Amino acid sequence: MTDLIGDPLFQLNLMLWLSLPQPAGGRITPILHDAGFKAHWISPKLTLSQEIAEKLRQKGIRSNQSVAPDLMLKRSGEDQFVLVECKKSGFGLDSIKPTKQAVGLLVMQGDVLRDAAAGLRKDKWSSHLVYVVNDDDREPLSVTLHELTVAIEQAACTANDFDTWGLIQKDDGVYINFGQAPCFDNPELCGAKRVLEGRAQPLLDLIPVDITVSTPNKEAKIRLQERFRTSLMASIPRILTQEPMVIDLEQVWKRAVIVWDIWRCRDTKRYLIREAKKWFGSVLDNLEEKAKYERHVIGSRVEIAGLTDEGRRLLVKEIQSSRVRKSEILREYTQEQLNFSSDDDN
Amino acid sequence: MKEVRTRDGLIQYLMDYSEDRSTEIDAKKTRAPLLKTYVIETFFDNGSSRINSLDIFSEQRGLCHVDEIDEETLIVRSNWGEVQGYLEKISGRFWLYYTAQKTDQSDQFVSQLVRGSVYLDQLWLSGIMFKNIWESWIVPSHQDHRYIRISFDFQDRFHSRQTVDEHIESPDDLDELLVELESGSANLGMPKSKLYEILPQLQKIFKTFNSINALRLPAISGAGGHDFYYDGKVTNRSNNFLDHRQQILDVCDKYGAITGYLEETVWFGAEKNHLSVGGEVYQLRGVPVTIVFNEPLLLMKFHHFIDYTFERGHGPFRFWGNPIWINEKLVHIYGLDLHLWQEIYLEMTPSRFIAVLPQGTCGNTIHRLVTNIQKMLEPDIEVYVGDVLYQDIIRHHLVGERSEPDD
Repeated sequence: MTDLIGDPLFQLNLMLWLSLPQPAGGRITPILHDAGFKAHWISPKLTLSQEIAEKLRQKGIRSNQSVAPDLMLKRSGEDQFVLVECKKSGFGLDSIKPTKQAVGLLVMQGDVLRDAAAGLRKDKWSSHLVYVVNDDDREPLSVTLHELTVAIEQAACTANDFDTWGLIQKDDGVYINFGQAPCFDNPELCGAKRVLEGRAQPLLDLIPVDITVSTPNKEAKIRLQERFRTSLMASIPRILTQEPMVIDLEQVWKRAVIVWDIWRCRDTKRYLIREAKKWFGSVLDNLEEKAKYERHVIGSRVEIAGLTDEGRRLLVKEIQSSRVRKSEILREYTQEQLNFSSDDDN
Repeated sequence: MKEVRTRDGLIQYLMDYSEDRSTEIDAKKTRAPLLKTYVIETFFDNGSSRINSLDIFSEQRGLCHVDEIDEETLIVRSNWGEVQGYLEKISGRFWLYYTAQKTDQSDQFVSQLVRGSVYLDQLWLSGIMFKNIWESWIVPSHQDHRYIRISFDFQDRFHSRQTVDEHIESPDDLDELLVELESGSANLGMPKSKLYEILPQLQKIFKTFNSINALRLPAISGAGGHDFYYDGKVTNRSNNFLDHRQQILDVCDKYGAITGYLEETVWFGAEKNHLSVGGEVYQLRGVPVTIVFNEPLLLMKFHHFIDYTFERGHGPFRFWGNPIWINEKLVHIYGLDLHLWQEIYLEMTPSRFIAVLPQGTCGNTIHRLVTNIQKMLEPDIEVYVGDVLYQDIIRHHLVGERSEPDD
């Protein structure tokens, strides 16, 4: 867990926990919530205006046509938004992919963001871009973003104010170096503030997958597996009176992964459904020894027909068994097995 | 119980029954059990809203037979055809089960009824909830001389002598552990003004007095009252059934409002919104529920609780899931609440439990968790919904308008 603070999934969940109201004295200090921010949109897909895209193109500045920051925070009572992007490491101007994304995020001040301000004073809102990185990368990344800002403002339009927040592991906890923290308007929040007590330890996942990364790491995979298992468990009693009983494993995954629909890693999603079918098939194989039924699998749907009342009772008993609770759902996989492609648009 | 075939007939029968029992109590010659009402919560999540209540109560074959008197009144018969009780729907969320069976029989029946369905749960009145009912309703509404009865019960289920012996290292440890081992029950019956004086002191000195098992709400129409138990059982100790029913309606009304508010506030999820400029975004919502132990649990008790509850899947908490140990004082569980078979995600340390309820998980889960913690793990706790005290939410809902007492 030494590189936990560099894990974008940990960073995203940390940002979420920091923006949630919680009583004082816990291991998390909800510093963003205390500063008035709350999580607003998760990974919103924002599209550049045609006009700005054209200006950037004419000046040879490469940009994504649409961008999806990991998180958008909104400050309550004020029309202020913060686009948050979590990164494993910083990047320079020679890194094409993250630079194109950064340009898109820096110029993202158009109608789409204004839409987020619905009901507020639409003529008076501001947006701010924040990159979350390991603190070692904080200042070099600021230089990169500054250079991009200069180029954008000469070529096309004003850019978002930006900031880089650096995560630091110290003996007594995890700190965030907010630098000058211009988006807070509060001098007390400048510099490094402790946000997590003790050594960096995993947080309870609010969002269980990094939306832009195809392969969950080993720890994230275990958490995903447990979420799937309980979501499947929750689904079973609710179909017990159906004939045939139908369970759609993709729907179970949707229940377990609340951002499933915006998770852009199609190959990983296919892999998860495939593994879930194999695992659930083995659970039903065990049941076959005790009760007669017919099983049909169509896509991600599993149909169980002809199960008697006693058979249904045995199914409920089987899924509660320690054998099912302890069994592995997501086996080790390789990149070849996943055959993943970079299908994110960042 | 006598068989009646109309709702009005049922009400009249229960009025007569309550009066008869009251007369018998006055004469010190009770011939039949007191009337008991059990509050049963129904919770239909997305996709199950079309399920018929009659089907829910009837689905547990072998337990009882349920027939309709009308759409909102059901008659419950034993397998031998005897009438053992009646169910009355009082709102979209709550049913009342009236019975004159002996307590051990009716307790067992309701427990089996609820355990057998993912759509049914009981009412869960924690020590915190009772304390607020006492302070917000009883104290301001009744005269000083009014007799109040309150009972306390704390059973330290996760602290066995064996585990204590294994961990004793010094005499100081022993003292600490023996204090932790205090379990037991107590009853207090006294005038309201006296209880008002001593209860805060008792709760301050002996933390087990925070675990309230039952509280009598005095009858508004006359003598006696209604004993509300932690699990939603209410015994009628007045001569007036309508008073009994009305007080239950009042509690259910507020309890339902609190539960609805909790669900509205805590459900964690990402809601799809459509933008006026086209496209969709997912808006995050929800806050965690935090249970703070005013004194952290002993480490061995904490481990015993996790092991017993999750690894072995035993009651009374009835959770299911694989603990993911981060270190010896921090565990994560993406688990299931087996009462309603719904997801609950937990971060647990000896100092505090943090619960995240995914969208759709019934708010009653919070009441039940708090009740069971106070009764069987640690009575002296504070509960927060986000950063707002749970007791403040309860009090806010309780101090709304209520019928005036006439004693």
